[in-house]
Amino acid sequence: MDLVVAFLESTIRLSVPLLFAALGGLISERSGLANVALEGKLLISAFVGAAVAATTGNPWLALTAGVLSGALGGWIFGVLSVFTKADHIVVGIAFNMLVAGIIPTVCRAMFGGTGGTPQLAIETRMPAPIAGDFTFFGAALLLCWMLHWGLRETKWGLRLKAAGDQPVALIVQGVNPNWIRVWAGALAGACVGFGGIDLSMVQGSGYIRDMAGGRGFIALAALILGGWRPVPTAIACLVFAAADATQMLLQGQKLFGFNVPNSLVQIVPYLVTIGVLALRFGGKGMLAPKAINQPINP
Amino acid sequence: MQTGRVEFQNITRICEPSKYRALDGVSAKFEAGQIHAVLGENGAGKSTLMKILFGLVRPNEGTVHVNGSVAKFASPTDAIRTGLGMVQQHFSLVETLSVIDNIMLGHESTLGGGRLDRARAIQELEEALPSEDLRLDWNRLVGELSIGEQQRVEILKLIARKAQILVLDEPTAVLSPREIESLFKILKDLKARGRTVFVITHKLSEVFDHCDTWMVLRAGKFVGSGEIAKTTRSEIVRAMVGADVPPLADRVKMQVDLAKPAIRVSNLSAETSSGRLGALKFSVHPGEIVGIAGVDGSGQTELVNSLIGIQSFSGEVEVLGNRVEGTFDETQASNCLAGLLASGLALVSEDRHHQGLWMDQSVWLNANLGYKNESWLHLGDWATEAERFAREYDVRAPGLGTEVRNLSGGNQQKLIFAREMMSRPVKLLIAHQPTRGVDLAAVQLIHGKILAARAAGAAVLVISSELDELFALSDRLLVMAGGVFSGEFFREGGDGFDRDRVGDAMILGKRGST
Repeated sequence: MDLVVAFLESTIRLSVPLLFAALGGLISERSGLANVALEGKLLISAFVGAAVAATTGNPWLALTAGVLSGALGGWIFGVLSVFTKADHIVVGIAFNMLVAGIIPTVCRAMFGGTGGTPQLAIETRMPAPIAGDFTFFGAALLLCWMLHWGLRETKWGLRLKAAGDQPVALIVQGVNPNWIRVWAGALAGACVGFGGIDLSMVQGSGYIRDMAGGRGFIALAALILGGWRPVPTAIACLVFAAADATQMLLQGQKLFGFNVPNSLVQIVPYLVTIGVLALRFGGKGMLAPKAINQPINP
Repeated sequence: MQTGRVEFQNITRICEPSKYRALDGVSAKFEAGQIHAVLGENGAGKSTLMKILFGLVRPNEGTVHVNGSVAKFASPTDAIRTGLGMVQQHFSLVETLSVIDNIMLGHESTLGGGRLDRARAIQELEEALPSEDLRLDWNRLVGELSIGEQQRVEILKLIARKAQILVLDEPTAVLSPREIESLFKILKDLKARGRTVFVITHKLSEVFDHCDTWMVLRAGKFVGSGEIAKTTRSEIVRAMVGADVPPLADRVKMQVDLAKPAIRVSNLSAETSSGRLGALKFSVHPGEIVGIAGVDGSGQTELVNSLIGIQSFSGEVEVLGNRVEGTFDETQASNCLAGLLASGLALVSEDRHHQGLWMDQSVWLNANLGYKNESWLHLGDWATEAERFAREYDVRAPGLGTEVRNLSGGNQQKLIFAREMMSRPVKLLIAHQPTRGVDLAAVQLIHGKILAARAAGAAVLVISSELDELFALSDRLLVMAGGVFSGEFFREGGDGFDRDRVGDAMILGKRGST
């Protein structure tokens, strides 16, 4: 029984950064802005949040700064991708590499040493009611529902989908889809920012070098598996998180009387990925936005 | 006072950097509440003139007056606000959204907080609906609609913006005959509600059946205009192509060699997702043109696909002495087609954008695609070849490096014909919709070349939905309806080509004279 509780708890905990990153990515990609830079934005916001917390000691200021840095990163990424008419994937990879280079440099200049921020004291992390695993998880679920509803029922959802599927339809109505993509990129960055804060200030206590550990890319996989729809995407995130939780729980455990080598256990998440890909629960009905990664010439 | 009067005064548009005069001092006046046909060859300046009306393009000289006052639109949005709307040839619809969402996009009525008020949008639309034929299921996805229905959504978008003046660019190029009828019914309803409609087209029969006035542009200049009721067809044709209409090549008397048919088909049956063929039997001989008439979707596509071996069928098909196998597999099909091309088949497919051309590539590459078999590409020869084709078939392109996508439909089709007819000795030409969406001068040229192929002793199979075209070309006419031949007519002997009887065969599947 304890095992079940532990499993559920760590699934929920591990899913939070995935959920924020994948749902943020969904906003961006539905507008036509292909976003492989989720990883970079997780790192930026995780670092900025932890750095502000370490220097000011104010967790609220840190949260705000972390989210805004994600938004700014997303905005810059959007402007670079949209107005240079470059391939979004190439810009995204460049963005990730730039971030991976800049953060350790800035970090060393500010704090010296290891390329991470100092350990955050308990009072400079998110305060207790917020830091509970379920608050951020709940916020992520709320975001999922808002997207699910907003894409169908609001003007903004309508224009976002049009920008991603058929930007010409907006141009002929005098709406510039390029700016929709840029602002979708910024909003996406803000959402990813919550995921970054979760990494460095809720689950962790400070920024550690490369702490996103590929979660930005797993989130992208979840988004694709979820067929660019909010609810299936969230489910995909939970499946990946559950696989990761299983792997963590099984390490060093005896299974049916056998000592299973850790390297075998660590295969579990990948097996799940392949299995889920094969089942393709997001495949039916929804394909990639039609004009994703296509420049617009008004 | 009725609104919707449009007047162009001395419009000149000079393209940079070539100094080419797309429009040269064009003046014309259009009354409100009528359907105006804007006619001209591709590149005559029709679309440029309409774009100037919309503020998409600025004239170098001249003014546009709408309802008597000078109209200067900075952007299409401005034009929309003044009551102008345009349906482009390529629709700008979001296929993944519903009809009503497409109509609302960009001008959403909301309940506050950005929530869409679809009920109100539907109600407003239904109140403003000028024609019952425009009614659609507002909640269906646009991607599920037919082309004709999608066009109605485009018109509805303009109605929702309260457009008084509607411009439709080549609206019938993509429609079936029935959809064309219902489109013009809608346009007449719009006219009855006092709206002004411009139709850019080069199909004369539509102009005569449905429009009130005509205007012809040629090479950027105003040639003439008038009321349809006071004009004859030949006057307009002369205005469109100028005095120097290339005469149709003479139909020389040919001795048809019945012993060696180029196509011999017996008992051909097939069933595909799109339609079925039932026990077809026919042959095409050197020196004759056989036409196949029929409403689109009567089995023409399946017939052509069977002849070239790219679908499964039962029965016997022999083309240029090659047996075509009815059991389809990819390798065998491509071998079979390669064999047919080597034996002297020229193939002009129905869909030039997907089957005939590689749209994103240059003129010279397209001129050499599909028949060359070189391990080391002789690109120098390719360029010479392309130049020769372009000269002989009058393919007008800014340069041989131009992407084929940027050529007009007529020039694209001429390029395909040039490649198929000039790259090898032709013994059999299969031309499916040889002149669909092609301007009049190109039609003349293509028809001339088809007759020349016949005179040179080739067998020709022409499949078309344009009866005029088939009557002009065919020695023998087969009519298809519902996957079977419903009639056979002969140019000489029997009753000749009787429009009514051919029409009956197309629609009712009645047996014609055999």
